Amino acid sequence: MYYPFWKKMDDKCKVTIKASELMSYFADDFEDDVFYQLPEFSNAVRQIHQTVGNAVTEGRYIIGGTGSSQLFNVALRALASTFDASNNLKKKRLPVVCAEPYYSCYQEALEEEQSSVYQWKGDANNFDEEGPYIEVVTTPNNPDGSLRGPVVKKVGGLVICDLAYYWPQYTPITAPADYDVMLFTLSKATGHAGSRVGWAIVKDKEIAIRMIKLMALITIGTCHEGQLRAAKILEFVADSYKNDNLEDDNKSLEEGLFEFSHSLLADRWMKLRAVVKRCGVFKLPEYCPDHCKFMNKIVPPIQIQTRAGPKFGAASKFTRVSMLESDDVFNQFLERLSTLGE
Amino acid sequence: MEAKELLLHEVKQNDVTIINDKNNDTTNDLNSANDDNHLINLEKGDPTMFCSYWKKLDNECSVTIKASELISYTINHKEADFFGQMPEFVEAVKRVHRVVGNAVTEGRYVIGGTGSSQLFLVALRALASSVRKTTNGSNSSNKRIPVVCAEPYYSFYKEAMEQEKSELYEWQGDANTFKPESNNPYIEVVTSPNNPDGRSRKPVVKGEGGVVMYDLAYYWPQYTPITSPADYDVMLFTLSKTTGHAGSRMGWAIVKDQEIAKKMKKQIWLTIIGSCQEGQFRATKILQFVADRYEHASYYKPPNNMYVPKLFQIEGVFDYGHRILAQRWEKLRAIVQRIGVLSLPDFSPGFCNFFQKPTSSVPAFAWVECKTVEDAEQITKKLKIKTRIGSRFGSSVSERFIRVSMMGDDHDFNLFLERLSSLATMELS
Repeated sequence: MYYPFWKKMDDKCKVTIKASELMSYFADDFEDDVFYQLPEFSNAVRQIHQTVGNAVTEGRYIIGGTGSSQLFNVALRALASTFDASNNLKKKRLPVVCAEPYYSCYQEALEEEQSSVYQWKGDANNFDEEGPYIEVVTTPNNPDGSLRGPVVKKVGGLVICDLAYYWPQYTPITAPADYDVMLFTLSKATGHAGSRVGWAIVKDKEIAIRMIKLMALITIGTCHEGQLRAAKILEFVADSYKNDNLEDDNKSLEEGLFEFSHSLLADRWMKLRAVVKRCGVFKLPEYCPDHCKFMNKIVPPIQIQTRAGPKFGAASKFTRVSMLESDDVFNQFLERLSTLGE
Repeated sequence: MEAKELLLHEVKQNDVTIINDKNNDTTNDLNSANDDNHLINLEKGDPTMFCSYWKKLDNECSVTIKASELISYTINHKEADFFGQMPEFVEAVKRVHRVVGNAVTEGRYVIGGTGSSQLFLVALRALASSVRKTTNGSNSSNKRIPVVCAEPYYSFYKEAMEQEKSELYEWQGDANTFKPESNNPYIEVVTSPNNPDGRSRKPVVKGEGGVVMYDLAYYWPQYTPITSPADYDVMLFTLSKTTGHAGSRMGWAIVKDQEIAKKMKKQIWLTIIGSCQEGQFRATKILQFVADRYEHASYYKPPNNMYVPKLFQIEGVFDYGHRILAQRWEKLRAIVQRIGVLSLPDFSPGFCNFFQKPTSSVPAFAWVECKTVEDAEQITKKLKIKTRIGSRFGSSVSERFIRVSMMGDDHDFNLFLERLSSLATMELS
């Protein structure tokens, strides 16, 4: 979906890497322990969040990972290790929960990993165990796009907040997110999924250091080429909102990335809703508009991506459909959907 | 001290700002006062010795990625179950192995990951879960599969496994002292050439129920003679030791069994979906360059009077690597012999099928043995060097041993040799 936007920017936002560049394991002398992370990357992340206003970064650690998938795992382990002392007494695996419907990959990844430290325990709404736990909160939620907060009302838990979709093209930015561990991914921010660049914004020093040590041990950080590219792309987007384009005679009135993708998604939703209403077989969630501080106007939130309901811990009558595919694919989907009513 | 090379066609890069990469910059620490106090880091295997080679090919082997390129996951029709991986990367890997002759890839699965460190754990988990499935008998299916490696072993294995805390497998240390019960499953990791001591290795465990995983990171001509293409069920390689591009975090596994390959792909998919495509793209270019250099060299030999591309004007990367390491080892051995308080492993030369001549083993690390533990401490202190202590490579490995990287940049390595040669005049307790 983002491809047409970036194609126009092909030469304005390109990266050239010479043969001898980025060779060393070490990318940075200065940042404590994050020897593998390019400072341009950390800076670009701070810059974009400041520009968009969707997350607090002041005084926080920025930890890059190979997609937010890797960071989810690393954050889990780091948090789990802070519970070690009390947990060792019972040798119980730390429960990890998330309110249904939840993103299918959390459960799959944990069940595949078979860690002796933590265990997927499903729906946070039904969680009733004593002792420490970790709750994963995805907001806006995947699959249904709803805005969420933690649901477990107990003491002794820690929260990992997955904010992959907390960008202006999907949902109104009402306030900068401010959780202890926040995950973001370039794939949903700008559409660059192939780069496998995610980042965590971490408040607590102990947890940050554990995460950094884990990243250093398991993968010795992340691909420097990906980091460099992500830095370039994020800087480009942030810069495009910094300058007032209307005043610049040399630049044409180009839509920024977020306006482009928001209007594209809005248009798709409109078409989808029309087709769904006509064929009468399906229902879609409703969303309330809200004031987006970034766009500086009221915008209706948009929704994201199909996989069957049970994968998300929901009934099989639900299915998740991706709204982010290319125009061709999406239009084809609408055509086929519209034949269902007949 | 060589002056910083000026490229014939220096292109002003407006698009990219790279911070001053200290490992590329040979003008650092020219001030001898700085040199005196400079702590030389020889602990990690950062392969910066290759930087000056690739600097000569900076523009010829550069990659440019436009804003819309590599944006989505790859559509690879041949591998629908592994869409995170670029087919060009797989082709480049297979080609380089064919040209060098250091691994069988025909009919094998190539699985890329974020460094061979990640692939090590992914392969372990895949092997452990298959071994567990096929095991019958009294061995309860809930028992963790033991994983062993002969000491001295690469310190990472133990540390990574203990961090993983997996339900599937369990680190059990030295393969030399491991006795599997009857046909019970186990996994032996064999690193050849070995890290830290550079020796060629084979499995040591005598058991029927075991599987072996090979870490062949250093099985390249610059480190050791290539005697035959490695042909094992699971083989790990990494770009960092092949060409020196460590920052790209590109490793690959060559896997024989389809089921194991499937499990590994699934895990990669669940943890990272696929490795960074910019990294894959760059690795592809670099590996193709290397393969070109060796496969097409004869095309540019005289009496052809055509224009010769820069790549073919200079030695290939493996020749460069072997030459530099051989020089360094020679100098190191000479000093060590003179000062008499240290010893180094000996290697007999072997015929390298790639270079088509007998070559010496010149490993990436020097496994230095000091007379006493106190000597080892004192030496590293007096020389102001950072090394990795022997005990990290096995619980019965003495702290008399220190592992010293031979792969760093010229300036640091020469400084190390200077300080080492002054050791005879220093007092040791």
